[in-house]
Amino acid sequence: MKIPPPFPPPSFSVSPLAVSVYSNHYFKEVVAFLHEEGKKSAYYVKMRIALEKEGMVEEIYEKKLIHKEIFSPPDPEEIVSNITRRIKHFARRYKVSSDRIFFYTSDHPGEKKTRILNPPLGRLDSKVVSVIRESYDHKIEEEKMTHAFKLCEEGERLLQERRFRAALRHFRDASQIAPNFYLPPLGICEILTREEKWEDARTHLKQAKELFEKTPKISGNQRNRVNGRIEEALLRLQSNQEAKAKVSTPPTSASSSPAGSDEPFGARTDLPSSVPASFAFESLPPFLREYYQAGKFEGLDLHALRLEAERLKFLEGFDELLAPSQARIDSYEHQIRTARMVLRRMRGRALLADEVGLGKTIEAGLVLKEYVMRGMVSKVLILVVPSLVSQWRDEMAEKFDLAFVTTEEIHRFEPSALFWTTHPQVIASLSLARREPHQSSILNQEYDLVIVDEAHHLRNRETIAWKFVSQIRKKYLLLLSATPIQNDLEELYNLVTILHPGQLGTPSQFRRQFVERGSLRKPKNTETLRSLLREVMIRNTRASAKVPLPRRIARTISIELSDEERRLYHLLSEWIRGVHRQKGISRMILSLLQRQAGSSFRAVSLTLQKIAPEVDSTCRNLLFEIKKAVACLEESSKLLALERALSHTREKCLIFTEFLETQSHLDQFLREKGYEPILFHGSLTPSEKVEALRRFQNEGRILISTPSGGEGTNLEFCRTVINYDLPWNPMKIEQRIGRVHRIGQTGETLIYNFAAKETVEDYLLKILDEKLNLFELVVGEAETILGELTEEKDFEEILMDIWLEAASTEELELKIGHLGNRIVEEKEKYLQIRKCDDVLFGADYETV
Amino acid sequence: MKPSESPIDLKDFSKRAFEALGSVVEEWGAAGLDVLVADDLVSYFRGQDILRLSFSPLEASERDETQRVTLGSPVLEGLLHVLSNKGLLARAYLNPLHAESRNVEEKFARKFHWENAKPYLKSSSLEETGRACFQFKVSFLSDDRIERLYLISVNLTTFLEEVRLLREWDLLFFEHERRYEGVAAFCLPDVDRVSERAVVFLRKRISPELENMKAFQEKFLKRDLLRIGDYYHELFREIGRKEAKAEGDPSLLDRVRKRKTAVALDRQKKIRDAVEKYRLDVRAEIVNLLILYQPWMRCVFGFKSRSGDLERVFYWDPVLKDFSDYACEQCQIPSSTFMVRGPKFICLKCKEVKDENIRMAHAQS
Repeated sequence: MKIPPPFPPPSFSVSPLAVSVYSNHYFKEVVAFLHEEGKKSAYYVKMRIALEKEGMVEEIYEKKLIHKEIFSPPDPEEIVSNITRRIKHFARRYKVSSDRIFFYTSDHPGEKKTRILNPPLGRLDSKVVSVIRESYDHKIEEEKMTHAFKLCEEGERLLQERRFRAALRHFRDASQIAPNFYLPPLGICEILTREEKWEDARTHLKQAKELFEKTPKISGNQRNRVNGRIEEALLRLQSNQEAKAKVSTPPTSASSSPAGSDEPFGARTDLPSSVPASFAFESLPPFLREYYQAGKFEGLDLHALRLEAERLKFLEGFDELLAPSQARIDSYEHQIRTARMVLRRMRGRALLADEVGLGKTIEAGLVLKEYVMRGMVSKVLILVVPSLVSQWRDEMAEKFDLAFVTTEEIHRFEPSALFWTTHPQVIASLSLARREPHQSSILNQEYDLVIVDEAHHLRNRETIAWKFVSQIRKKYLLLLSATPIQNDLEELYNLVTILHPGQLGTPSQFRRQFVERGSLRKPKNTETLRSLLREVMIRNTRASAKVPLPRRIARTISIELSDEERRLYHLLSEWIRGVHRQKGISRMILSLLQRQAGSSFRAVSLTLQKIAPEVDSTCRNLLFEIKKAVACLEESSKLLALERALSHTREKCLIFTEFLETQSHLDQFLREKGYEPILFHGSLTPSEKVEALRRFQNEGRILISTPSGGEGTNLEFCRTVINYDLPWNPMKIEQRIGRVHRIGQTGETLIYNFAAKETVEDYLLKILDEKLNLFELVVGEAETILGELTEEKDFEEILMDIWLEAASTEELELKIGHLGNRIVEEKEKYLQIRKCDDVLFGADYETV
Repeated sequence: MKPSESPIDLKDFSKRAFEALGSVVEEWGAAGLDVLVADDLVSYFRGQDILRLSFSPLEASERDETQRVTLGSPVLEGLLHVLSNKGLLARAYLNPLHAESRNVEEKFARKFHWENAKPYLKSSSLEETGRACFQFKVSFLSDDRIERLYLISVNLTTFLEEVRLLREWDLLFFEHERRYEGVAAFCLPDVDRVSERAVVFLRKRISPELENMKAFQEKFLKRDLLRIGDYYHELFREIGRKEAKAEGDPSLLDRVRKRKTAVALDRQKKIRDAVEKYRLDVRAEIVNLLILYQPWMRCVFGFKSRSGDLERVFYWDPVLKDFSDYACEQCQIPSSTFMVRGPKFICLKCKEVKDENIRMAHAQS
């Protein structure tokens, strides 16, 4: 092996023997081990002997000379004596005289070597000893510095968490280990400043400054940063001292400092120090006075039993939760643990940031229910996106037996402020609540608990929404978001600051400490950031919650309509467009008709019959033509396709349709073909619903359900879903699929989507399948991805607008294409967010 | 009837409860009860008049009609609901073997000491007294809710707290009937007056626990306030720097100053919210009341002192075999060493305070 000749080349002839003694690298290990008490350490010195002959250096020997376990630092002299013994051995072997032996030291083989003196071997010892000792001492120093630095880092983290004593211990230890290190006295100064020990703080600050000035090899940037920090520490010290002095001095004028003045504001001296406490005695129980006066005594046994009954009802903190047994849910272990953690450790203020599909709503509901059952919460405000207001109300009622009113009823109150004062439990859309006059009404209330769903809408602290939520007077606060970071880390900061102002410092402190320069999303000091986040945020992942979700496989059954059917569909669509332009019939009805056309013409026919009296004569004729054609229609292509699909499987099938008329049409058709479908719809009584599901599970093969079967019912014993028609809202499609594709499902879920070509549903499917990959997403992801898109208008309205306003097929395809592109953009954003989440939270973010 | 710390056996509790409420109960298996529910209770158990209850999951699985009883189960909830309307007021008697005591003066001298008076027994007679033993449920509400039971006993003659009685509670034998004779029945005082006294004693009793809880809450409050204080302090400094830079631009300066005011108001709000969050509210309610009757000796003692002859009544309790406490007539705190000062019997602490006041008054004059 060729080794480059040593540098600088010697002026005399090269010795055939050069010895490199690599000591630095391995002493580091020795020192590191010795920090652990009681553990053995090991050291070794590697010696490389090279022969240099005629300008070429050849390595002939490399060996760990000494390798043994010891309990105390190695003695350099011992090392050297070992080395020289070997050198002498080689010198004899290669017949080299001692004055031809050179010693080098380097940190790494191959690095620039420094030739030390090369005296005769006899006098080698003391020279080599001093070199080795120097490098050893240097390494010890380095190691101490590293250790002291780690202690300081830990101290900084404890300082952030306001654990001052522990932080002080760390800084003091660091100072003892590395007395020349500037960071420990700086940290100690900050703590002493808080403790108002001004002189001591000043002394440490001065020391830090002096040590820093003596520290060599500091880059310009680092120097600026540290100088800045020293300056800040000095300013803080001065301002706190001045503030304290002014507060202790009695005021000389009658006027007190206004809110905007420098003085008491911003000082830490006007903070309350005690917890307010009150004692209230409930009046005598009913009848006690009466019984006492009448001398009406009961037996001792009942007396004792009453006492035991009270003990059974006891609430001993949040060790045992009451809510899970009262809630009508299949709660999972991670949800109960989350609720307990929010109640016990986080004391009712938390960011629930579980991955999609793990049940953040359930977790929030459990916390709310627990507080209500314990009498700790009565006034509640839930802020959600407009499209979820009813869903939340229904979930709270159905699962937790909690009655909420929504802002849909606000029109009944005049003035509207009465609505906010009258109802203790309200669900409102954030967009409505933040607007006047509602904002003022809400800010005048005092809430026990506020829940904000899709809290990433509060990611920007300059927005009205953020300021509004921040200003609401509340005792407890839950923020729910699967994506707390969408564009940059500061969004996470903004959410945490609503929960706990100062948890992550000021914005500039946060950026300095936790965000990589030049990147919005890349965190630094991740461990410290995580430890601060753990106090306010819970994030369960599917992996950590051990909740595997099965795969779902989707197939599109694209149906070729018959000529007559196609003509009818287009005729109807054109008519709808025409009426829409003339504003003849309400948009809701037109949307209904268009959706029914994608389901079945029988459904269309019935609606047309109902609206016929309301339309004007020019349209009525067209209407009758449509009705007649519908009545004459012999066979439905879609029904035939359904029959074919059913004949290819023996599995239980859940067929969804939006419309009762289509359901009855399907029922009639399938019975004629020899099947025995079971019907499920909203008009069934609860016991009839239970019976229908029982029959489907035990005996039936086909269940035909309207949207009421898409909510709440669990059908994980079935794994085939047929969407005979498609709701235009992807979330509703998700809901349907979610009845079988859910936690608890063991097999793959097969989804068959029926859509006739060149209909709205056909375009819809293309977007949802190709652009959004709806059917491959995890439950809940679609909602997250489309959240931004549907902030102001829901997806149905967007689609209907495109359909109604397109003047031609080309224009329609163009607009649908644009919608598809927007969805792709949102999906990309979502994937970026997930990537960022992995960096920050990773697999080892401790959750519950 | 004192709140026991031991866990409640649900089966045993349910059996006793149903029986006390007039239902018929039979045991089956190791952990089962068959209950024929009393007519007036059927409505509490969803109209069922026969209940087959199991207190173990193994027994429950064997028959379909068996209802498993656990905390939160409908049957137990029904039973607790019934009991919440029963057992409110009870009475019992403590019947001592010997109501009167012979060497009363000796026992009196062992318990009480007078610095400047000599007591002597003037007369004694037997009387009946009563004790109101209140069970209070106290809820400590903060960002958590903890509940405790406290037993407070108030003597209905002296209106002092009967601490000694509670210490010996487990040794007392409560009877349904009065076995002593020759004493007039005790007349119960006004219940509001009694309950007020009980609440005073309750507040004193819970005071250490309350202080502990307050200290615990204050730890968290302090941390939160420190965080808030630091945050706004830094924010204010940053605004201050912007204000300094904006000196030459009136509209920018105005905006910065408005922001400063808004931040100041926000700070106040956050502080208020934090304080409210950790606020500790204590709510006490009476669970039930037991009146304990017993005879005791009313002893009239005379006192010879420089102030003249005085007379006071003390009570010998044959159940506790001790004299009932006597409270200082100045501070109302029971004591065992007194001195006569003017017409009053005061304790030594009150004596020291009075002496100090006299010294200070002299010094000022």
